[in-house]
Amino acid sequence: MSSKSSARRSTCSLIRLEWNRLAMIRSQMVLSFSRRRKALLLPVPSLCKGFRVGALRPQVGGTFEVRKVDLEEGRTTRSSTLEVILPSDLKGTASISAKIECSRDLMKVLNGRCNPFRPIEKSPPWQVQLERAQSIFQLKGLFAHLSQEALHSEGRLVPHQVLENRIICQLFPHVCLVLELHVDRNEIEGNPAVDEPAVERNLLTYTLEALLAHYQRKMVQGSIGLHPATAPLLMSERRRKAGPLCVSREELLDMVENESRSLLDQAIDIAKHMYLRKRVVTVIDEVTQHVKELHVICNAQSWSTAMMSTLRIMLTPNGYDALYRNLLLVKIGTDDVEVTCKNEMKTVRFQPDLTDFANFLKNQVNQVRVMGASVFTRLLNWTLLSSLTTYDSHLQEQVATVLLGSPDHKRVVSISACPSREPVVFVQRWSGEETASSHSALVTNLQWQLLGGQFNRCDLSAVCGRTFLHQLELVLCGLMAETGSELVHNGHS
Amino acid sequence: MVVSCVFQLSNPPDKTEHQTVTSLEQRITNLGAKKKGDFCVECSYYSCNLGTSSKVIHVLSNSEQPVTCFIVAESGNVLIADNMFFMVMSKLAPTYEEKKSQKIECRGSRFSFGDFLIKVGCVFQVSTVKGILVEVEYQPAVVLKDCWGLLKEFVEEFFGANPDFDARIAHCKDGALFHATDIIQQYLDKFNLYRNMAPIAFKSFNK
Repeated sequence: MSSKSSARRSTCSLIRLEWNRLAMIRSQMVLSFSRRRKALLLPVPSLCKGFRVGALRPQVGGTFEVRKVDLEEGRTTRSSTLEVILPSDLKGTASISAKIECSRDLMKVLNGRCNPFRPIEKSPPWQVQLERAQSIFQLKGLFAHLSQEALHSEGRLVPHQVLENRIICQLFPHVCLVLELHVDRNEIEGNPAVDEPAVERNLLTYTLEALLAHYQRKMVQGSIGLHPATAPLLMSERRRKAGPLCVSREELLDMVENESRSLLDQAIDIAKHMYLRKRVVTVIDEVTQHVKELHVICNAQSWSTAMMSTLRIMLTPNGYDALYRNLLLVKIGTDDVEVTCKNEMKTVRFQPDLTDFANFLKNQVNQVRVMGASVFTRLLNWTLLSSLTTYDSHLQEQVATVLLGSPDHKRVVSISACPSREPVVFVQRWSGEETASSHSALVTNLQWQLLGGQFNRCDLSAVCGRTFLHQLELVLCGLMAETGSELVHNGHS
Repeated sequence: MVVSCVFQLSNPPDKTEHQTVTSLEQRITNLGAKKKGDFCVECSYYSCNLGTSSKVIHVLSNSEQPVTCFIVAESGNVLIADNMFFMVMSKLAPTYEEKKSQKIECRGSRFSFGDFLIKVGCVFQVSTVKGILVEVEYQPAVVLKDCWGLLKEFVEEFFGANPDFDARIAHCKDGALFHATDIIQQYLDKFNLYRNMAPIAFKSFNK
């Protein structure tokens, strides 16, 4: 009995020894990486060869080790039995930061980090580590490619600057895009998929991530996995489909032009568009934030791309939406902003500076105030006598003025509006209020006695009403009454 | 896709086709149009003899769609393929033989006049001038029925011709988009007239 137990014990120890030897699995693996596919592990016979990743130029070599962990060694807290041992230059995380800086205001307009090759959250820890190592390689390769394009770009007034791991490109005067490669060598403890440092994400980083991922996918597909059905055949898929889709000559030229553009040029165009978009929204906010008597609706249209957006701005008098409206369609490109004014049936282009755009918007706001008031007063049977737009050199802006006559032809009201202040109402003194002493002895003809007097400013703060048109309605109704003179404030005009 | 109509222009007996085309181009330029290059529509003829019957294929290409070629069978079926389809036809040479005597093409100049694109071309069949074809495109429109009246009036006012399109209008569904095959069908009908062949009823996409 004891001999049998001792033989069994020795057999068990032998099995345990074999198990320990098998637990030390060393193999070289080639990892074909895609964020959406599972990692493919293919055995490579030689232990000494470096591995090659995708289409990186130059080829980056290195070895890493995947070990099967023996649970009896006490590491029961691990969720996976595989352990990845990476060399020091593959540890950590990498990302590319994109900043748009305006040197005039010394401010960062947009700032964020992007990494299109982040590991998927619920992957096993060993896969996350391998994918992180992969992303370091790919981002280094992409950044090297961007640096080469920046150094060899021609035909630009201000050449791009490449400083170690930073690329500075000028978008507009005083506005530049800074691309920087960040590699954080600190190894992340705990759950690597969750504990990545939180980075600021915005539309610029999302778009750049998509661009980098698309470019990397195109490069990887071009060098590996060639198959007769999916091989590019020296032209892109879009170009291959151009024939059966009856693509016209102009579309073909656009396609060829877009495909021949470099990665850095595409990133610069995206950054230009994002900057213009942010500036346009800021200008609209600045112009309309103090406008109380107008209802401003600004919607982004659905037909927007990474390099073109459309905004729809509707300006209506507050509370009287059906009375008068001004519709502006703002098309934001990469180099300019195009505004189509539906009321005036005209299209205007503005430079990236957007000072003219701000002035244009202020004038449109002004126009809506004045035209809204004139349309409203016509409903009350007042007559539009004249409409005038002049430039006030003191205020240095355009002033729009309308002159309205009462239904009984006894009162004249002037409404004047400019962008920097609220609309002002002036009421002409009633000819019936003229006393005998005010008539000149020289002017005896009756027709001169029917002329109105000077215009006096109306104090709208003393008039009840939530909006300017409410107050105007009260003023006009009061003027129609016999005792309308109390509303006229004897101030300077 | 734009809407266009193709029609024949009669040649006065005292002038050659070249002289007529030149004078017409001069009139178009005086109207204020600007020349925007040249155009060419070619039609190759392939036939296959199968004992008692024969199959015919027309392969057309239009310079407006430079990477596309249209293959039209006698039954009216249309295939739209890449420009490299000609290489496929060359591989089918033992079966489908190209009749070079039936190859016909229309070459000329393009003029841009506001929203209209006017193409005036001479029809050649093996270096023999057969006639004059004019194509007028109205670029903002995509539905034939919406702009047919405008196109017809423009053509009748300026060219004095009647673009015979009423039959095609009658078969169009409401809101059907104009397609490149509609333009090709018009050209093929005119080419078959010059070749003294019967017209082909297309089994096209949107009708």
